Amino acid sequence: MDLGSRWVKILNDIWGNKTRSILVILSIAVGVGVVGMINNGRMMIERDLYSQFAAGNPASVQIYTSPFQKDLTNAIEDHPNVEAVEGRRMAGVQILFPDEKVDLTFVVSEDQEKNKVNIPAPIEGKSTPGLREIAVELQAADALEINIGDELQIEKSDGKIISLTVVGIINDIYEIPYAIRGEVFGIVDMRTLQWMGYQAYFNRLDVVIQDHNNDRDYVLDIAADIRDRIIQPSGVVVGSIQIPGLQADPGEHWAQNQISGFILILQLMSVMAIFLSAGLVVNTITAILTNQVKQIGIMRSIGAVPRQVGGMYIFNIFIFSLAGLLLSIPISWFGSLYLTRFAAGFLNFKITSAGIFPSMLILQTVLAMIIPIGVALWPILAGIRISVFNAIYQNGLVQEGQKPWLEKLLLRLSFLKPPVVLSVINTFRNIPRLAFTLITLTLAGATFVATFSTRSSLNAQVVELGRYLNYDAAISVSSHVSKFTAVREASRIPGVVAAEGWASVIGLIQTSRGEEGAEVEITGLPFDTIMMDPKLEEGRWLNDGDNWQVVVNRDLIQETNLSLGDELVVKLLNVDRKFKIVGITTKTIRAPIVYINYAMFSKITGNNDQVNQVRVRTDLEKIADVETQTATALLLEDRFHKAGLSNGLGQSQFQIFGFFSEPFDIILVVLVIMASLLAVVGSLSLAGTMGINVMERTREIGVLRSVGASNLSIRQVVVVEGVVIAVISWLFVVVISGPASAAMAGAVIFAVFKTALTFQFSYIGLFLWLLIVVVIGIISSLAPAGKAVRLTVREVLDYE
Amino acid sequence: MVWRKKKNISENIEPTQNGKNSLIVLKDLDKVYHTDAGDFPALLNVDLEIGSGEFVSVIGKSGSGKTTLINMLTGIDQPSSGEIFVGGVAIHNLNEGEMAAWRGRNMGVVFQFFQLLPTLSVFQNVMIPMDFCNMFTPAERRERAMHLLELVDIAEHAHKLPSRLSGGQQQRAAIARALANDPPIICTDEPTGNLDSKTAGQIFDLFQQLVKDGKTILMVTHDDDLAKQASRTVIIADGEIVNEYFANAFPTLSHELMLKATKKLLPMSYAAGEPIILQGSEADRFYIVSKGEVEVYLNRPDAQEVLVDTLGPGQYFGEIALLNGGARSAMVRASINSPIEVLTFDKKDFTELLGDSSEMMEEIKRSVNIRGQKLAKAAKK
Repeated sequence: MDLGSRWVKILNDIWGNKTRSILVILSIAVGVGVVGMINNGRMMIERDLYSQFAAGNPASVQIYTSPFQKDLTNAIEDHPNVEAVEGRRMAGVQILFPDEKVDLTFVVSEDQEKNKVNIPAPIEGKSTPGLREIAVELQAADALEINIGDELQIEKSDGKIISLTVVGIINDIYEIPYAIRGEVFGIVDMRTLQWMGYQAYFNRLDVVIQDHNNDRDYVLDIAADIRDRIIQPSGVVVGSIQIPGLQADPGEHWAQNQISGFILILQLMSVMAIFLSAGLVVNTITAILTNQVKQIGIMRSIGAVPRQVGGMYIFNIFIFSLAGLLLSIPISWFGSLYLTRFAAGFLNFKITSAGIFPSMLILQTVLAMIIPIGVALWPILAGIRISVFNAIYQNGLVQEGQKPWLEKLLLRLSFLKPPVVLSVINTFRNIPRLAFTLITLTLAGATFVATFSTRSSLNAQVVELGRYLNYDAAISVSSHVSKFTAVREASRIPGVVAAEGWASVIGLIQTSRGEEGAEVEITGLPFDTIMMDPKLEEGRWLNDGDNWQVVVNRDLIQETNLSLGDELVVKLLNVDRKFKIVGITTKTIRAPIVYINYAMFSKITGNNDQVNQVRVRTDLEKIADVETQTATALLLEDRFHKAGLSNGLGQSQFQIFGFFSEPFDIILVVLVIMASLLAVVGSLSLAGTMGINVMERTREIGVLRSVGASNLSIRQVVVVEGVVIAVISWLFVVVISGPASAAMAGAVIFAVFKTALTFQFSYIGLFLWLLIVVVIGIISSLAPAGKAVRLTVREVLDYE
Repeated sequence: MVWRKKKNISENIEPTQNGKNSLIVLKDLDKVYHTDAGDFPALLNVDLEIGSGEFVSVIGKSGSGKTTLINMLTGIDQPSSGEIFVGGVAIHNLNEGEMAAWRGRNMGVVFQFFQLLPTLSVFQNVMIPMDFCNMFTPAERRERAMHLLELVDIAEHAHKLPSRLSGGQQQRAAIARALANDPPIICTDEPTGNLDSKTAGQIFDLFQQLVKDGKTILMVTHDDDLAKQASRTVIIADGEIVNEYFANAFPTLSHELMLKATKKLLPMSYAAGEPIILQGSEADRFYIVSKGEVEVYLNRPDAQEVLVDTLGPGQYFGEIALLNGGARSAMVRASINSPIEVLTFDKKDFTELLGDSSEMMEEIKRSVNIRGQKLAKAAKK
């Protein structure tokens, strides 16, 4: 094949400047690959997670009740707005491992073989276990190394231990998985439950609503109708009506909002990555053209018309784009697979196939081909428009035009040493190039600071949350345990100096129109509690003697539009109760809560002084350290188990925090990785800029050499310029990182909690970035400075 | 060897509009560079004609404007005013794109620093102009490139990168590249400036061979010795062209004086056989022949006319009486074969020039001496 000499030249140029070529190809590959990775990952997640979720007929609403029998589900199935209903029994026990206990929830269906709602997918073995058999959820089985044929030692709430044989592994996508909740789900037969000594009944209704089943209000209305017309008339008490998931809408995956929010953030990052990658391409192409101006002049002098020269450099970009595209495909392939695996591991779904969607391949091709050529067109056109004369004779000589501002700047800097003045002036000699470098570094810096601020905000939020979790350890207690017994037992634990029994129940807010609104948690607690340090936004805290006076959180105020002093009507155990709001606490990341004096709580709920939870402290002044908390939680658990007061796990405050902060940590790791990538791109950009600057100023460097500039002085001129650019970019970061951080922190928090929480700017992040960006400025300038030092006077000044 | 071209570029080269068979015509050319420090005139009122097949060297001091002149001619730079015709094409009217295409086919350019593309082999460097100008078929291009490299004697280095060749070899490669599209004109700026004298001589021999093969070569050089070997020398000083006839007449003068003299020269023309100087008349002018021939006669007392000398372009007359005083010692008239053109100084300018230049005074004295002897000899015949 006869390849024209001009194309051979371009191929030789690409090969001859391997480092620069690799830099451009990598820039394109990373930018396009990140877009492909995130979007292909999104499509894989949507394909597998949502399809697997939809395949099992997800419940629109879950109704937690007192025990009921199968005939209730039959009655509900006849409701005109119900598509399907499944009665389930949820029973909590613990699995005994040699060195730990893990919570296990039995899930029992009416007929495992004829599941109609939230149908788990069989993975291995039997999905319908027989007597004394259990099928374990996939993720927990993997994490705890439970295999088919294993005998699980199960400890019941009464302390009795029985053994079940693992006969199958199932994938239940509808329950929050082990990776998040730390709880194992296992399917057993009702006969097994009875064999274990439990009574045969169901306590949860998984209902699929017909039509409009994505409309939260509609679904809740139908659920309320079912409750009022079918469930309660049958004598069954409804504990709560819940839309499954973390603030999800009916029919959606329980983490759909969080997944969408997280993917949206990643997509924004990918847009930034492609923007920076395009910028780096422009910078490098400009460098190539700057380096080749003379060659362009020579080619023009031997007959090349601008169109041909332009074509050559577009061909050059095309080769870069093609190589970048080819490299981006494995990046997006493996990246999306990794992302999807990460999501699958976290969200408990199966990846059906790995690969790149054709639409994503097209998108990557378009991005890889169009963007680099599009952005490089301007420098190419500028490069080929230069006259042959300028190309041949002016190359390397940067002629300063008439710039009065430069003269003024020089005058103001006259107190500095000449090499430093030269560095500062050099910084401003090519404004467009400076602008691009600043944009890159500023974006990287703003992202970095925003990531730190997000972390800070979350920490602030956790501290805020800590006010409501102002104890060392807590444990749930069995329903029959009295407050007195619970507090007494807890107080006997060595080290415990205070113990409180709390109780809570779910009620329904009654709207001003007399309709039933959202659920609300009514918490009964001592008015002088030390297990909580509520931050009051309005009004006061509970006093001794308060009866109908209650304190509510901001979540409730937002839900109801009520104000301080208003009357709050809550349907509690089928009775409308009227409370007066005397105080409003800050928002929590939980649902609406009403705090009421325990005595009044006990009175209106008729619970005979029983409590749900015991909270303890080992120091009246402050919260204990993690070790003490953990030890206290274990002691609490041991004592309550032995006393038959609880079958639950003792939990330290630290563990609760971990549950809240863990999802953020994952997001923050991704954000830090992205910010680091941006910092790398920023430093590459700065290195490129400094490289071009040195290239353009070879004669100037020669002159400096000829008048006695040492290696150190030459290095200083280049490195100080790099540092000046870095510091200027940091000043821009100072300006924009505030709003950028607030936006990112808000987006991340909203993505996870669907609510706006406290924002705290990270000054540590800001000053850490100053340190990093100065280091970037120095490191990025070292190579160009080294190149400048290697130039000899003869090379520079004798040329031509 | 016959090369098949896609276009016959020789057809582009036509006689100029004024009817002269000049390949290159520069008319009243000015080039002014505008700088922050003010305007800098690099070329002023340049008029120059170069015929086909000439080997013209352009010499001048550094900064005199010789590179600017060649840049105007190659279209690498644009004149501020004036016209440039090459083969009848008004290249000053071509835009950059048109100029590049035209130049690629009609003008080979050789630079002082060779300017080979560093990432292409020598062979590919020779191929690339043909590629750009779409000349010849691909097979012919390869064949022609090798032929040209053989011509410049570096075929064995064809597939090496330029950086692996010596300066002389690189310049040969640059010449081969300049010849790639078989242009009728080669313009070269200091082609030997970066070479040792032996290699420079070889390169010059190559140029002479090309002229013999019919090429027109315009060579900028600072090497006077090399320039003298060209068929014609154009001297440029302070952006202006020195009168070639004056320069030929007084080659030892400084370029500045040559330019000073050029500015004072008055062209005059005479019909065939028309007297220019009458013997015995008052001496008021100095003459340099610029076209045709003049004949010098001595009217002896016996009324017999004796032909003393015949003078052609670049030779001068009328200096004896101006230097020695007194009446004209001989008669000078235009040859009867054709009309003639001369360049003249008046007596005042001539005297001033002699006062400025001891070299010119010496030259004139030497000439007066020789010619005095010739006249004395003729008078005795």
